[in-house]
Amino acid sequence: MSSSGTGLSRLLLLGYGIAFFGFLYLPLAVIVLFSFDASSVSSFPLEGWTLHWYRELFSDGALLGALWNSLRVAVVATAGAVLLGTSGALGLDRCRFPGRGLLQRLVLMPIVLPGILTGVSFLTFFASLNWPLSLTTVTLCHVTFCVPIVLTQVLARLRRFDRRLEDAAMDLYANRLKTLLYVTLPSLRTSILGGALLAFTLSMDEIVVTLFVTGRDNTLPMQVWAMLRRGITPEVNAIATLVLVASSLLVALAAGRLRTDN
Amino acid sequence: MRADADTRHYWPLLLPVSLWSLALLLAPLSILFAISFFNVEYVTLIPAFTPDNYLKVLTRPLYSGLLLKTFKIAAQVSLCCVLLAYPAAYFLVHLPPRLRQTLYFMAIVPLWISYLIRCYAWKLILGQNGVLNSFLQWIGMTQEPIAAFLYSEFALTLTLSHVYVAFVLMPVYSSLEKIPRHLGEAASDLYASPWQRLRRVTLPLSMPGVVTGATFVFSLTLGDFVAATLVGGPENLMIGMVVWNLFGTAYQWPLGAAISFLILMVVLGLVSLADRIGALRRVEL
Repeated sequence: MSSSGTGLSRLLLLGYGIAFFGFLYLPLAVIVLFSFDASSVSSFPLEGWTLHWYRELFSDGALLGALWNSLRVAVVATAGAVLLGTSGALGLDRCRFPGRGLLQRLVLMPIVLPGILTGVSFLTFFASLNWPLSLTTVTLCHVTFCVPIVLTQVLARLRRFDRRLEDAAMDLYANRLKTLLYVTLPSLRTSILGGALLAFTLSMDEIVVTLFVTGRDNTLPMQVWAMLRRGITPEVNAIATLVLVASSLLVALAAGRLRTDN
Repeated sequence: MRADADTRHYWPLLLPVSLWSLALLLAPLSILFAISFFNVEYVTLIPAFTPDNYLKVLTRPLYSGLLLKTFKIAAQVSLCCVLLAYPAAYFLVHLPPRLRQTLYFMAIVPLWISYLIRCYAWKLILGQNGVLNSFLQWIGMTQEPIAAFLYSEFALTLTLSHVYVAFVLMPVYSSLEKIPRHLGEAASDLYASPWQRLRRVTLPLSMPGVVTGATFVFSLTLGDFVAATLVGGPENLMIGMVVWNLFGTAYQWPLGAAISFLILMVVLGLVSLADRIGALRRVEL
């Protein structure tokens, strides 16, 4: 803070910083607050505390089914993204050929692509192949937008990786495969895990692409979307609170992983 | 040459991701592009090569108007995000290191939390009988609920700004962090006031971050229809809702594909433009 001007401007900046975090978190805090409110209408004044809405959730079969679907999709999509993202990052880091930049841009494109474009292009793609929409098609799409998440994390780690460790292993007669398995991959471990956690979170929360490519089976965000369109109910606050907590924990875990890496 | 040897040994690792991206990213986009030139009769797509769909989008006021309105909202949201995130990034960069890391992390966590739920939060707050209205009545500030909060352009801009603000915060923070401290000190030694230092040194050097962030927000807002449905309401349609409708109940895939492709062109154009500006700035530094 030494060089940031007068006391007044520092005070203003501090005030703004606090207000900014309020803007970020107050709306989320409101959901959490009302998930414990006894009233069935989410408005002030509060009418007392209850866990009733959480109990309702656990007896909602459709919601639990959707959660199970989401978990299955996210686990498979994360595994796919880790395999493709890690191998792709190694390849992009080490190979030099014309069109490499283009390939990298293509792989990373889903990050800037609005979800709706990914969604409609996959919808037309599956339709033209006469491929019925199901959780399988959902999983394929999720892999596509999770790959760049893992790939960027691993690529960033590889840029800082000391290749002399590999030289040392090979001087000691390890072949390339052994060097890769016992030297290179272990040092990428934390960034792979961090990327995987982020990919998992993203997949669990994704709604826009999923809306276009799902069949009869709902994922959790789609079930919440369906509940929302019927109107605001305290159950939505309760499930939203649980999702907020779970996502924050996963991201904190990922950040912890990625930080020990640095 | 090490690079040549590396390429020879490691190229097979590129195969899976290349094939995946060709089959499950480039192929779907190509098919979407092809369909944007098709005709449709009842519920059957007729392969054709006609510019009709594009002409329809650009000439019919319903579509062109919505496209323009969506651009306008995307521009508003990008501007709001920059105005909100810049001072916040500036605040974070000037904190002591430990606190800075923790608070920076807290500022970007919401980005990973369900987009749907962050939109929903504003519906809950701004509704006619919602949290804000009932709070104002409860403390006696107003007697009647104010209807104007929800289902307005204001609500939509506010919600989308809240949803995407971290996309600007991240690049601005990292470009501010990279500015060498001694540049500011040099400016002060040459009798620049704090305001001049901000305007002549800090702002220009952090511009690439601002451009990158604003591009991200603009692109992502263009395709939004979830926030628009939840808080924009029927009077604040966005083009994404039209696309959703054309691919759903209306079954007008070619028209929907043409709109999608126009959006895609804008997004790719902006990204490469931002890339170029960013590159130029780097050379200057």
